[in-house]
Amino acid sequence: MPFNTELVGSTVELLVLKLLAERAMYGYEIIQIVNDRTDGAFNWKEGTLYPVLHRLEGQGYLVTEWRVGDTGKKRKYYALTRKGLSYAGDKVTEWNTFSHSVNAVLIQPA
Amino acid sequence: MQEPSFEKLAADAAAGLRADQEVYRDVTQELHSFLEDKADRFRREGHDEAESVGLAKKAFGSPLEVASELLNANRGRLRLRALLRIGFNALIIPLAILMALYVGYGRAARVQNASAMLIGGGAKLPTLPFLGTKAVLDAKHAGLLRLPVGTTGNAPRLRQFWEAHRDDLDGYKYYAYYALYASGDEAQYARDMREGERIEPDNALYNVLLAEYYLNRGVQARSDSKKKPFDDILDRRLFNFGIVELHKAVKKPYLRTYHLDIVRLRLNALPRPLLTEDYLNRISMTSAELFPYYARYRNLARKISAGARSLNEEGQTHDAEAVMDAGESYAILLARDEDTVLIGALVSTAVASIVTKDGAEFYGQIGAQTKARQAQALYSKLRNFSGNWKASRHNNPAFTKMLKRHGSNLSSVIFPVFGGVVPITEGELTPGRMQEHALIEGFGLEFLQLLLALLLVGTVMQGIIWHYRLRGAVSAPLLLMPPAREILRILWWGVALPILIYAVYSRLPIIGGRQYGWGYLGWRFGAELLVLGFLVLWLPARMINRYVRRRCDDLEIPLPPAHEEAAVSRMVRGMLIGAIVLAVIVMALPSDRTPLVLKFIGILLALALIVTGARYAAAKRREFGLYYGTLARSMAPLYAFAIILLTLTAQPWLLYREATWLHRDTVLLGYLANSNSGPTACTSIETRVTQDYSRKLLQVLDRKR
Repeated sequence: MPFNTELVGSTVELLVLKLLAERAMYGYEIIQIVNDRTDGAFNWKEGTLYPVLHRLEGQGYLVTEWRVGDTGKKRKYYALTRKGLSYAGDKVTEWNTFSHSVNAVLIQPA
Repeated sequence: MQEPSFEKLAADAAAGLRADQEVYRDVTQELHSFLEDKADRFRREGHDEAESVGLAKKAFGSPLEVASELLNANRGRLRLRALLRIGFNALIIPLAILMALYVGYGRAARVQNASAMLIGGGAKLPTLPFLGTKAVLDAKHAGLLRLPVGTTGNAPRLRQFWEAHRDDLDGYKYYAYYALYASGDEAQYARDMREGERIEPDNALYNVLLAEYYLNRGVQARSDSKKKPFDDILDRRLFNFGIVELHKAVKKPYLRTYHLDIVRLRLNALPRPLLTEDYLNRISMTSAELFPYYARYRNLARKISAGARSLNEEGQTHDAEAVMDAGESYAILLARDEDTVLIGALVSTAVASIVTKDGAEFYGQIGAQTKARQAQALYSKLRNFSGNWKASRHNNPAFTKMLKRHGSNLSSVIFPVFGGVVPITEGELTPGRMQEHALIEGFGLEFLQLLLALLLVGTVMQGIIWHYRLRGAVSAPLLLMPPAREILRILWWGVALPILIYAVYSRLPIIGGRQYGWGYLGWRFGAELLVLGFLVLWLPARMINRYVRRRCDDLEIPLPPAHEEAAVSRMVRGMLIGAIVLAVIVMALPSDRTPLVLKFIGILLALALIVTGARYAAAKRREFGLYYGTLARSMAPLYAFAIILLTLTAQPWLLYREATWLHRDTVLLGYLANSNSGPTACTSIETRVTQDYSRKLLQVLDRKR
């Protein structure tokens, strides 16, 4: 079932931060992992991911570095800064609280 | 319609970022790499090449939409980077150049003014705030002094000053000071000296000055002229007046000029001293104030002897003997006045030597054998005393060694003048030595800043040249903006850390070697500063070079192969060295034996070498002009930051150290500011030495009595 675009858009930043909290990744890798973990439910495109990555970089939450990967190709890796790590933690907490509240309404006691 | 390539697609998607070439190139490369990855995935899934590329492009979506999204996401960053670029080009670089010029001019003014004060050469330059207080007395600060400077031309102003302050506690001193420089016709001069006598009846100064005034005009001494080597009374009336004044003078209890009080008054009116040149200014003022009238004291001694001899030749032996007796009393009167200024004590010795030597001869001629023997004995003692003092300057190797090892260069110059028995300890030499270290380190730092400024201007020029050469190309040279962290890393490792290591190392006890003077440390001090200078110039250049190369590689800017770059650099360096060597040889050729045409050809050849080297480098590097232009443009801000960093940290620190050590100095320069109430002399050591010298001189002179 395709999700509402706005709903998907509102979670991109959270998911990117959460993934980058695990390790530094390049753009295509982030999309691959999201697709793998969601069984393709989120069909992110360049227009979805890169603006978010660039905005977070501009805000000082991410740093970038060009590295040569195992395949010999150069890729631009994104990693969280200390400030970004703290921001990622805040965003996850915010999401958990939000989803818990939504669920509390949606899942009525039998 | 032909399908756009990945490059074109990525470039179109990043088109909105073109205003910032670094971001544009970066994003283009990123999107291109993304498209490649996506195509790879389709290839792995079994699609053929064309299908894989097509699917990747299709999945990419509309480049226009992506461009719009990317522009929105990067708008803030682009604005900030644009501001930073303007800041680098219009603010940081000009500010650094201004700072370097400010520091350079400040040092030039300090050096020039110190030189003008010490050796009197060249014009004095205005000093700048933070880089030294008033080394030159401009009109405003001269006005702060309570008295005009003592010169004959200033005599009317000196008198006005006395008239305005005649009822002050020190009013009589101001009159004495005026009397030293008073001039005018005979009647006026006599009236001035009579006025002095009335103000201070016990002071022999006015009678001495008047006696010198009359005798200088009334008597010719045999030492006055080689053409007329004989004594003669030229004007009987003036001669008689002079002798009367001389007899009056030697009957008075003391002779005081008060010039030391006046110098102290003047020094205290100066702005607070801060740096070395301020102290040199004080020494210069003190010297200028004390020297002018010593010649008159010595002249009077010669005229007394000439007068006595002339009277004797006329048969007035009794009067002549009285004049010669008065001469010896005058010498003692003078010796008692000078107690802190060495030159004054030496003049007293010279006067005593003249009157005793001439007295021995004179008394012998008139048959006063006892007096002749006494005068001869006294003259011999004076000669021995003076000779021993002079010899002691050269016969104290232990003291000379201590000065050389632990003293500053200034102390090594000044202290030996005072004789070999200067009562000074190693500890007292420390402030002067450390002040000199700070001063030399300051010179080194400013030289380094000058070199950094030259490199900065050089890189800016190179950036402009490459921009001009690459006009019409796809891209102009970029001004890469390393992240703040990278800039701080380069400044820390390349500039701050080497300087900190030097600062800590050089101040370490024993190892640092700062227990020794600059003259003793010699090559070691120079080598340390050279190594430090080299590191501060080389390390940041190396680090920014590596950063720029890496970034250019990321941004797909063609890079010259390292071996090719090294070969070009070697060739250019060789040509430049050749040009310098040629120019030096041409300049060193003796002007009188070398035709001007030859020198002209030599200079032309040197210039041709430089131009050829530059053209060779430009031709070889043209292919990689974008990289070299980017390198030059990106290095300039780093040099600017280095200059600003040094100007705001190391520079004030060294000035502070120099001022601190100067104020701690109790024997050399700092003494002039530290002692407002003590005896005034050029240094406290001079005071100590002169007091000791004067005491011994008086012992010699009094032994006769």
